[in-house]
Amino acid sequence: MRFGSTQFCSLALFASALLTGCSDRGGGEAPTSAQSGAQAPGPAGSAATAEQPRGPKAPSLSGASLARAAEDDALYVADEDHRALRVVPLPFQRDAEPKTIALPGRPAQVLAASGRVFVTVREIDESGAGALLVHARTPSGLAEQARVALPGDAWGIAITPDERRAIVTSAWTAKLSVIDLEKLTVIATLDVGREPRGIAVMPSGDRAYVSHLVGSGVTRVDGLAGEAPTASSVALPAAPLRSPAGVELSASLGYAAVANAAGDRVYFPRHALGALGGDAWWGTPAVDVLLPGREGQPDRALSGRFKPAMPKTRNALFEQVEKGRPWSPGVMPHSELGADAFVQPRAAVLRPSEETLLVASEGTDELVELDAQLSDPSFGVIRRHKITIHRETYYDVATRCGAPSGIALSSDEAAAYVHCRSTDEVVMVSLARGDGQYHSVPPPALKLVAGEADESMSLGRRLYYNATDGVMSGKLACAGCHPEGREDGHVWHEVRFAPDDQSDSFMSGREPFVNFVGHEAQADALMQRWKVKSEEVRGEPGRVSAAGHPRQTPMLVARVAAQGPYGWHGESKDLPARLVAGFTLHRWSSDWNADSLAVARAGHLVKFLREGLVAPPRAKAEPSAEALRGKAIFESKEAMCSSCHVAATGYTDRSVVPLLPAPPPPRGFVRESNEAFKTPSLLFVGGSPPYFHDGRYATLLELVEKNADRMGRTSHLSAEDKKALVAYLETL
Amino acid sequence: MRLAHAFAPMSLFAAASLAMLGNAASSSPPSLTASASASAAPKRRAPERPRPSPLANHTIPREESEPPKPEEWRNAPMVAPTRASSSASRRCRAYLVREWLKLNCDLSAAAIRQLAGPHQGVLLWVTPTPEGGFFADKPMAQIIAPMRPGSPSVFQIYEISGGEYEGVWAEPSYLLDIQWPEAEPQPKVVLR
Ligand code: HEC
Ligand code: HEC
Repeated sequence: MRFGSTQFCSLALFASALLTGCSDRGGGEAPTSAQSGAQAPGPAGSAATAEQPRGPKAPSLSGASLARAAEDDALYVADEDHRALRVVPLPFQRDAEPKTIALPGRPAQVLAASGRVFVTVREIDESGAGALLVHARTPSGLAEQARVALPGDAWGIAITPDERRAIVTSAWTAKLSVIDLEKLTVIATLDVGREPRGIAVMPSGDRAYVSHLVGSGVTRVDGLAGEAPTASSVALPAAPLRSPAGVELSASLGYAAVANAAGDRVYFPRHALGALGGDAWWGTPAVDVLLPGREGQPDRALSGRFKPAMPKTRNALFEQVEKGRPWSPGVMPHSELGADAFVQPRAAVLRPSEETLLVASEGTDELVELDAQLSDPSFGVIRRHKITIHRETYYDVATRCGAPSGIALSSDEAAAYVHCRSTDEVVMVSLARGDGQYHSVPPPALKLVAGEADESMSLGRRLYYNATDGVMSGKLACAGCHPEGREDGHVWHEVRFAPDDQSDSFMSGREPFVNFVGHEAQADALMQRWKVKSEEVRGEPGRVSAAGHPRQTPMLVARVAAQGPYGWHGESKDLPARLVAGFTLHRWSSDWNADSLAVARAGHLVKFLREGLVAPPRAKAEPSAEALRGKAIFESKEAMCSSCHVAATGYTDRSVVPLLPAPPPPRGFVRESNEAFKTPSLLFVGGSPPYFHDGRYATLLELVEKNADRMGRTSHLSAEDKKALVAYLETL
Repeated sequence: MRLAHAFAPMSLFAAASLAMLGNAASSSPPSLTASASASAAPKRRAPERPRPSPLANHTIPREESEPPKPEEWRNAPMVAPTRASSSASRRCRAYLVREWLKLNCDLSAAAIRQLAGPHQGVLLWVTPTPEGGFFADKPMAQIIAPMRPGSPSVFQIYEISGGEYEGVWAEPSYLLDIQWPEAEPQPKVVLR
């Protein structure tokens, strides 16, 4: 968003002018000592009323891992991996010395408003609680002014245009807090869907929309200006133009939500699970645009929906192409335009002067500029800014500027500052106008931290976010399905394909291979496109009803300490073996099998999985009486839960057991002969629905209620006992 | 790449139903007369063309009307989409009759697909492949479609790439995106 004219100072918008001209009435006014950091996080509302600071207005109403100061003299970076806030002076110089402010926990987002800088902290001092830190800009730098205690895993922040309210999402705890920025008190704490993340505030200041990391629905918050805001859920099926006919797709990786200045479009860049286009076994990118309803009208999706039986015309040449090379571009019914626009949309901002949307493509180390006027901007890639500077020769990962995760526009919109998380840098990318393009000028990069001491850890981290390395991935990184070591909430289809050797497809002559696909219709499309067959597919070409075996994405963080085995069937003896096996599932090519290339990558990844991923915060409260009763049931001889889910080893003994009788597979999947599954760890199980390898239960209560005596024994339990058992499971 | 031509008056043959659009029967789109080829301008000089007026300057009826007659297209004003990429605006021209939009693009199209939206009255046309070759002399792709409140539509044009030696294939090129949210007074047309 652009600078408005400043409220208190009618000077031109030059940083220097603002600082000198406004400073005695502006940011410098806030007291340095107020409510300072040494104080333990008090209960919400304990903070004293902060004097409303003055100065230019916030350049952006939504936070990110990177923010430009309203005064245009600094960039603030929420450096999650080093528990610090970095201050980078502007104008941008690659050899500038960033200042470091140590934080009491890992920051997720930062937002620069007039005279104040807000930082969300996921967990304060291992307390289980999150916080909003309020820093005042003082002549000598930032000074912590207040700390507002919030539900754990505080992540996204946005403010209203009048800067009187802030909204903060708490991801793991699925809460949304509305904060009075004058009194620095929490007005409301609302329950919302799983993993709320990015927030877009409408220009009216009374409404906001929230994206979710898991699922296609978004949250709408009303009544922000008043004292009793409310939250409701809005359906927004992913990528309707790329969906299989008649199917509403789910989404993942909804990190960002962006509203335009008029407030008539809200953009949700994300990953559409099961969307079609080209070779997209993993789904496709999508920017789903919501039209906020006016005057009591419901919110609607902007985009139309793909319909297969639509007018089309083609000439003889097209028919020839279609017959000759069914896998060539253009012949599948779904458009391939932009099906590779971005991978893992980690952040997004609008560039109003050009009506474009800039998306940080975490997996491909790019900043992608899209036509924001399209009904799905992912169809309109205007420019790709390659921000990676060098690549390793052995690993196809960035050595400079990997995993872009935050974007801030310069005040004249001629440049974008990008935070590259996996290499700890900020780069300045020059943005062209119109359809033009700057030719591969390496953007200047500023290092935030001196190089990582542990080379293996550094590589593991860069590999984890990377979707370009051909050995590990066929277009989606570990972070694409296991974001932050958590999971996408999706049940993937594991399908065995065999190339049709009678065909002239590029696949013929290859070994059979097993691949994840996002939706049964995707297996169908791939079979036609690649000319491959599969015994694990039911239905006719064009109308496949089931494909492959169900594989719910497991959570990794805190669940990968054990030696082994790994995999839902416990088929991999240890973690490196599982990773090497996994590589072949996350890509369609079997050209790179378990050789030294794969083993080397697995080694570094294991290091990152075990030491680099951070577990979600846990409430430190004493367990309730109900949870204690549930614990007794869990450990009882009758229920037998703890006989397999052994507490000392993360609530699993890692035994691979069939739970009989095996029910028929859920819709869209085929039955598998191996009915034995590894007892999963129950650590953090309360936050990782759906449950079981096939995602058959949406909630823990449903699991316990429908279990009967398949797994341990639950049929003897009363309704209260079952609730108590669930209450206990939620504390694990 | 070919230069754009300003087309001479056109007429629509009512007989050119959807069913026959794919047939290589006629070598010019149903809304063109043979006189189009009379504009034998030298290849490299940019031909004169009327300046399109912004779509937003036109009042577009929200009520449905019958597809325009050939005479109506003949006198239709040329309009500029809400937004078009520079290459699309070089190669394509849009015309407006009531709520109906016609898009002519000078390119070797192999196919056009409607991906979403109302299909009543939609007409799609691509130049047939010439005998013994890949690229027609004056290739063209044409889309005629209505703009309807609450019913967004999307069309994908596929263009021929390659040549005699490397072989040919079809590639998605321009996307025509028509959106008219119910709550908004005007449609938006994006060509990219
Ligand atoms: C397309 C989505 C997807 C991608 C990409 C992906 N995974 Fe997975 N991962 C899954 C699914 C689904 C499973 C469960 C499959 C099974 O166990 O049979 C899984 C299982 C695992 C497991 C086993 C966990 C256990 O407890 O048994 C590990 C470890 C793992 N993945 C790590 C990774 C790493 C590291 C990467 C990046 C190289 C990665 N995954 C990329 C979806 C994905
Ligand atoms: C015989 C060993 C065994 C016993 C006893 C057992 N479980 Fe399990 N548990 C498993 C296995 C195996 C799975 C995975 C099943 C699947 O995915 O199809 C599982 C899965 C689960 C899950 C889902 C985890 C996830 O992330 O999907 C929960 C919750 C759970 N068990 C709770 C319990 C409770 C509560 C009891 C006692 C009533 C119990 N289990 C008894 C073996 C056992």
